[in-house]
Amino acid sequence: MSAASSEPIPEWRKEINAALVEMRAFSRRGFFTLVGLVVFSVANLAALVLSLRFVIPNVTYDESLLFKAGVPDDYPIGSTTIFSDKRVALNRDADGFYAISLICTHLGCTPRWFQSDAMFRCPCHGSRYLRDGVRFYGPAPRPMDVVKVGLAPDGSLFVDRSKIVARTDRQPV
Amino acid sequence: MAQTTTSARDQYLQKYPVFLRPAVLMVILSIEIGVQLWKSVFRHGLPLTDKIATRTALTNYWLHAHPPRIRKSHMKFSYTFCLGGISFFLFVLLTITGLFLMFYYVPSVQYAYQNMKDLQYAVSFGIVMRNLHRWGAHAMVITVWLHMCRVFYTGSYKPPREFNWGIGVTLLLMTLLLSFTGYLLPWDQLSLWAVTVGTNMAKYAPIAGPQTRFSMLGSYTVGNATILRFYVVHVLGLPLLASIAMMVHFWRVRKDGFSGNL
Repeated sequence: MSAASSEPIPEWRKEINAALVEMRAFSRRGFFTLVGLVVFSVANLAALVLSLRFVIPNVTYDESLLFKAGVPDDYPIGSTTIFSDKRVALNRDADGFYAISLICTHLGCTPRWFQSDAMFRCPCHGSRYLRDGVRFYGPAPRPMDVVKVGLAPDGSLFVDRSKIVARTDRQPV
Repeated sequence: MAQTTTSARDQYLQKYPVFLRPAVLMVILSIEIGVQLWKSVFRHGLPLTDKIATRTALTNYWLHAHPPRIRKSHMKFSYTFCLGGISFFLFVLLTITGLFLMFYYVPSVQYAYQNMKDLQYAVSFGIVMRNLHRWGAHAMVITVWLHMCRVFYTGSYKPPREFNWGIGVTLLLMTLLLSFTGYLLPWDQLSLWAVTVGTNMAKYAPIAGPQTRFSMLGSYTVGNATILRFYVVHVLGLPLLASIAMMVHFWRVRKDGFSGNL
C-alpha cells in the first residue's frame, strides 16, 4: 500500500477525477455530460435490443406440422411405415396407431428404420431405438417423442407433429 | 527552401531555348509531383542505395509488417514456421476465390446444390475455384490452429502480448465459424446434418439455448432461411469482423515485437 501511495497519480487518472468532481458539483458541463452519457447508453441499449430481436423471425416458412397419412386399411397390424421427408414413423399395433417423431434426441438427425433388425439407427452418432422409439444404445439421452395420430372426419389418418403425447397413447381404428 | 528550389529550377531552365522552356518546366513539375507522391507513401526517396532501401522497408508497414528489430534466432524459419503469414495468405485466397464463387451461387434451397454442381461441371475452371476455396478453408483451420500452438509453445502469449493473444483467440473462433457457416452452403446431406447437429449443440446452451438455435436457423428446421443467414454471415459478417481483428492483430505484432528480450 505504501509503495502504491508513494507513486505519483497518473495524468489520465487526474483528468477522470476532475471530471467526476465536476459532475458531483453538478455544474452545467457535468449535467450535460451526464445527460449525454445516459442518452448514449440508452440509444446503444435500444440498438442492441432491436438488433437482437430483429434476427428472431416472427414468421417462418416451415411446412405444416400436421399431415394426412392415408386410410387405416393401408397399414397392416404390426407394420412400421416411414414418412422420411416428414420424419415420422407410423406404427400400427393390435390396439391402434401411434407415430414416432424421427428426431434423434441426441443432436437431431433422422434415425433410420432397419426392418430386419426391427430397430432405428441414427446415422450421425449411432444411437439405436426400438420400434416404439425407446432408446437402448448410444448417446441419445431419452426416447424419441411420440406424436399425435388422429382420425379425420373423412376417415383418413393424420399425424400432428406439434403435439407430443404419452408413449402409451394409441389411436384405435 | 522553396526559394532555393525555384532558383535552381530557373537556372536549369536557362540552359534551354525559350520556346522549349514551358515543356521542360512541365516535365520538371511532373517529376517533382511524382517525387512528392512517392515520399508521401514511402517517406524516403527512391531506393537507389541499400541504406535508403532498408530505411524505406523498415519504416513502411506494408513492406515490413514484422517488427524491425527482433532476435537473430527468431529470424529462423523454424521459430514461426510462417504459420500466421500462411493463414493470412489463405484468408486472402479464400476471399478472392469466394468472391468468384459468388458469381455462380444463389443461396437458396432451390438453387444452392445445383449451383455447386454447376461450378464443378458446367463452369470453366469452376472446379478449380471451388476446390481452391474448399481445400484452402480446410488448410486455414489447420494453419490457424498450428499458429496458436506455435505461439503457445514459444510462450509468446505472455505479457506484453496478452492482448494480441486475445485477438488471436477471437480470430481462431471466427475462422471456425467461417468454416461452419461455409459448410452449409453446398447444401448436400453432409451440410444439412452437420448444421442440424451443430445448431442442436447450441440448443444445449444454458438460458437461451433454444432461442439461439432458432435465431441461427431463422426457423425451426434447417431450410431456406438458414441458408440465407449462413450465407450473409459467411460472405460479409465474419470476413468483415475478421479483417478488423486482423488489422489490430498485425499492428500489435509490429508494435509489441517478437517474444524474448532483444
